Amino acid sequence: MVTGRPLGPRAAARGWLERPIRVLGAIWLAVVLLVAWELKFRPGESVFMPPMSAILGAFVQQWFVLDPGQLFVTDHFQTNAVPSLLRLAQGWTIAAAIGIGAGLVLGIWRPALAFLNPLIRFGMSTPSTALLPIVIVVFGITSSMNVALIAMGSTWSVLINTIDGVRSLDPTMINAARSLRLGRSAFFWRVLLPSASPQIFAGLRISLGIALILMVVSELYAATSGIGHVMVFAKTTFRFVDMWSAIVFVGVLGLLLNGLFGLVEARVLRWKLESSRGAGGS
Amino acid sequence: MTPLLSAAGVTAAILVWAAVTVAGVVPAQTLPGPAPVAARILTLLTDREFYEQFLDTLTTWVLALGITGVVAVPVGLLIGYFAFLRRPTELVIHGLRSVPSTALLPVAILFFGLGLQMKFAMVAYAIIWPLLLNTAYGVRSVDPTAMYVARSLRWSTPRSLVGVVLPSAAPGIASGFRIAGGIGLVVVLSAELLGASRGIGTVLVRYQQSDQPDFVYAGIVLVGALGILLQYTLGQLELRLIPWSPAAR
Repeated sequence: MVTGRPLGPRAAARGWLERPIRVLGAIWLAVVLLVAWELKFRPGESVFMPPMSAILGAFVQQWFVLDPGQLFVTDHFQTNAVPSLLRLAQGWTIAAAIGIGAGLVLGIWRPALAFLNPLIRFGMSTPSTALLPIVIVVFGITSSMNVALIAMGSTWSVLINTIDGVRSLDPTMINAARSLRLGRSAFFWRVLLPSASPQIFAGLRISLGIALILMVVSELYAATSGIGHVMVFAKTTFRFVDMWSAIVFVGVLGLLLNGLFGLVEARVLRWKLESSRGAGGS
Repeated sequence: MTPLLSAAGVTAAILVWAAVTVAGVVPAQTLPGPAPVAARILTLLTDREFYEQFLDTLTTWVLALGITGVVAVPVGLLIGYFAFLRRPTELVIHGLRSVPSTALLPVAILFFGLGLQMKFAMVAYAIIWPLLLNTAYGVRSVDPTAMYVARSLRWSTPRSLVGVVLPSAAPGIASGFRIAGGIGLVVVLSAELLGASRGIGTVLVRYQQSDQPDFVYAGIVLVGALGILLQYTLGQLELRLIPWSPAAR
C-alpha cells in the first residue's frame, strides 16, 4: 500500500496523538477477543481450552530462549520446527520451480496447453490431501513424503497463475516489441516475464498458504518429527497447553511468511507500483 | 483443434501410464495400471457402501458451504461497509486465517468427536476467512455514484446494503465461494483421512491399509471428478444467479 500523504505542519502537530489512535482503532477487536478467551477459560474451566496467558506463556517458553549460542531457539524448536520448515521450504521451492517453468512454457506454447489442459484441470480439482495414501506408499514415513505432498499440492496455483499471466499479455506490447525488433530472449526477459510477474506472485502467495496446510496435514497423518507430530503427540498425552502452543506456532509462522512474502513482492514488483503512480526513478 | 488436442493429451497420458506399468518401471503395488484402476472405478460406482460414503462427503461440503456462506456474507457486507470495522476485523481475520485449519483438527476432534459435526466445523473454519475477505473486498467495488443515488433517494442503510451493496459485491462473493469450494473439499478430505468416521477419505485410508492400491487410485480419480463437477456447478450457479458478473460475459 502506498499512501504517499504529504506531511504538512498541521499533520505533524497532530501526529503524536493520531498514531496511537489509529493503532488502537486497528487492534481493539483482537485485544477484546484475546481478553474474552482469557476470562472465559479460567484454569480448570475446560481441560481442552487453557487460558490464553498459559498458552502464550508456554509458546514463548517452549520455542524460544534468551541464548545467542542457541540462536535464541530451544532444542524443542531444533528437533521439531526445523524439520517442518525444511520440508515446507523444499516442497514449496519445487512447486514454484515447476509451476513457473511449466507455466511459462504452456503459456507461450498454445498447442501444448491444449494437449495438457484436461490433465491440469483434473490435477487442480483433485483435493491434494487425497494423495496422502499414495505418497505414503511411494515414500514411506520419511521427510520426502511430506515434501512430495507439499510440492504436488502447491504447484497448481502457481502453474495456473503463470499461464494466465503469460496469456494476458497486452497485444500492444507484443506489437511494440515486434516493431522495436526485440530479439526472442530480450522479449522474454524484458516484456513477457515482467508483465506476467504480478500474477505469478499472486499464485506464489496462494501456494504458500496451501503449502503450510499440507505441511501440517502430512505431519499429522504420519511423521516422526515436526510441528504436526508435536500436536498429535501432545493431544494423545493430554498436554493440551502444548498442543495449543504448537497451533499458535503455526499461526505465527503463517503470519510471518505472509509478511515476508509481501516484502519480497513489494521489492520485486517495485517498478510496477512506481509506474502505476506515474513516478519514475526510485 | 483444441478439443482434439485435449483428447490426445488424455489418451497419451493413459498410454504412458500403461507403458510404465507394463514395463515394470514401478511396482504394481505402488502404481497399478490403468485397466485395473478403470475396473475398480466401475466396482466403486456400483458399490452401495461407497455411494453412501460419497454422499456423506458431499453433504458435509454442501452444508458447510451453505451455512458458512449465510453467516459470512452478511458479516462481510457489514465489515466492508462500515469503515471503522474494516481494519480491526482484517487484523483478526488475517491472524486466524494463518492458522491452517488442519492444525485445529486435534481440537475439533476433542470438541465434536469423529462425526459430521467435526468435519463441518473444520470446513467452516477453513472457508469463512476467504468468504469474509472476498465479500468485504467486493463491497469496495461498489460504484460511488450508485451510493449517491441511494442516498438521494433516502434509502435506509439496510435497504442500500441489500439493494446496492449486495448486487455490486456479488461477483466478489462468487469468487469467494469458488475459492471456498476448492479449500472446502481439501479440508473435508483431510478430516476424513485423519480420523472422521465416515466419508470418501475413510474409504481411501481403508483400502490403503489393506494394500489395495488399485482401489485407492480409483477413489482418487473419482474424488478428482467430484472436484471438477463441484467447480463446474459453482461456475454455472454464478452465471445463473449473477448474470452481471464479469465471468458471465
